[in-house]
Amino acid sequence: MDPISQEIIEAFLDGKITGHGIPQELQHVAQLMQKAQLPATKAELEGEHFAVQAFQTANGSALHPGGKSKVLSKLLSTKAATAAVAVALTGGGAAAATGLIPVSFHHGIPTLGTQVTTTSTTSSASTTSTTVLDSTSTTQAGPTSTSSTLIPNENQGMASGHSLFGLCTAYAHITTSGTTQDATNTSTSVTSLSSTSSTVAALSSTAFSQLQALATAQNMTVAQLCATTSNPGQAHAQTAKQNAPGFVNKAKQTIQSVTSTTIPSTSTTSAPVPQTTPSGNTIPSQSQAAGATNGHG
Amino acid sequence: MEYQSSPELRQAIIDAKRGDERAVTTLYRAFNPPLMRFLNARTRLEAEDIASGVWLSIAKNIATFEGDDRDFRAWMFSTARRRTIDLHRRQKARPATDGIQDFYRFADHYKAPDTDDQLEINQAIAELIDGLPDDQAEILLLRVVAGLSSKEVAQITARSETSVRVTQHRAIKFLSKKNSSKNVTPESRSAFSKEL
Repeated sequence: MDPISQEIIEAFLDGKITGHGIPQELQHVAQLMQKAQLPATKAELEGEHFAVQAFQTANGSALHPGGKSKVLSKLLSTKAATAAVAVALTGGGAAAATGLIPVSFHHGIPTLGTQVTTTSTTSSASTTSTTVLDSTSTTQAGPTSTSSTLIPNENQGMASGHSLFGLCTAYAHITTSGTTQDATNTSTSVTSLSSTSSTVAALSSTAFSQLQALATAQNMTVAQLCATTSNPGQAHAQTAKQNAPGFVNKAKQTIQSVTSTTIPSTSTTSAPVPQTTPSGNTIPSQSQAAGATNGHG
Repeated sequence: MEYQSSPELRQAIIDAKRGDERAVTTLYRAFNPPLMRFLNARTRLEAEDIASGVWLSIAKNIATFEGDDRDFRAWMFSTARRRTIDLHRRQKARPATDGIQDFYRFADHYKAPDTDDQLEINQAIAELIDGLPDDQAEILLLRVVAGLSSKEVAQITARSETSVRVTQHRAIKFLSKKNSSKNVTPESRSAFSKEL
């Protein structure tokens, strides 16, 4: 007969057998179990304030308007953020310009900003900024730095600065040639549009729609708007070169917050136990204990 | 040891639905340590990410949660368990119980300020599940670390309660053989049985 029956094991795991009642062969297991249930360590309580903010955000009582993205970005996996940065810095930017971003991701962007891709040289001699529009490949050469920027929605999601100049440059390329062009500086990236259909597709993309909207808002055509836009990169090319590494981190943080807003909706797991109930009348003890709300800490 | 329900935690769940800071803190302090221990044993390097996801999920869904702190605990570990399964599926990884060597990897990863305490806990848990098949390790963790009853574990793992008891029995027998003292006497066994 088995000396340690299922009932004994059950009682043992329930903690109903303690001290000298524990058989010798289970003494060591009991010690391990005891250690496994030691009080919380500091490391296990890290992130406490993020949990608080997550609850407050979910409850609509965030402390500040930016709370949600901040909280979620902090809680987001760094791996997911890195992947998001990789997408944004490589294919994501080009996809934005060509309107090829998947719907779910595309819809997430306008709430925080408008994503555009700019490629600017850091050469002090001759600087050209070109937006990459080829939907099938992105080719870069020379001392270029490519970055995907998220412009805050201060201007209704409109591009400005470097982004506006990049869009204008791309617009000029599309409307004037429609064929492969060489930039003035051979060390800069090359823009190519292989067909008329791709030109039309590019012009109907979100980025150019916003460019058109910006021009309309200022009672100008796109060409007029672009004519008034100077290259901000020329004056600060050297500074941009020096700051380039730091910008990647900044973009990473920004994209982290964007991506984090999509995490809950893409999660394959959801809470199983909660049941849909009329709000505010769920737990029987709620009314009984209402006066003891401050009794814990 | 089975989890003991607490009036303070029951109230904290109610208050946490309103986003009450103290209530959430209370819940976090009570439930995050066992959650982290469970996840560390099951996923190692991804434990913190999964724990964050679990808390976000709880924050998102707590408004519709019904139950006391026992139910809350079961809900939390149910969510955590499914996420570890999702992770293993994505990674097509082997189960987490592949030897004491792995303990050192995840123990090293654990950046605890109070290193001695944390290492003691991690080492104990690693030793508890070392050499066990995955299903036995999972059930033992849910029983010992999460403090869930056999019935609750059966619900979470979609098994019968009998199946859970059989599995945990095998796990404890394996551990007792592995760690058994050489001085087991018939008297000690007899005294133990009588106590029940």
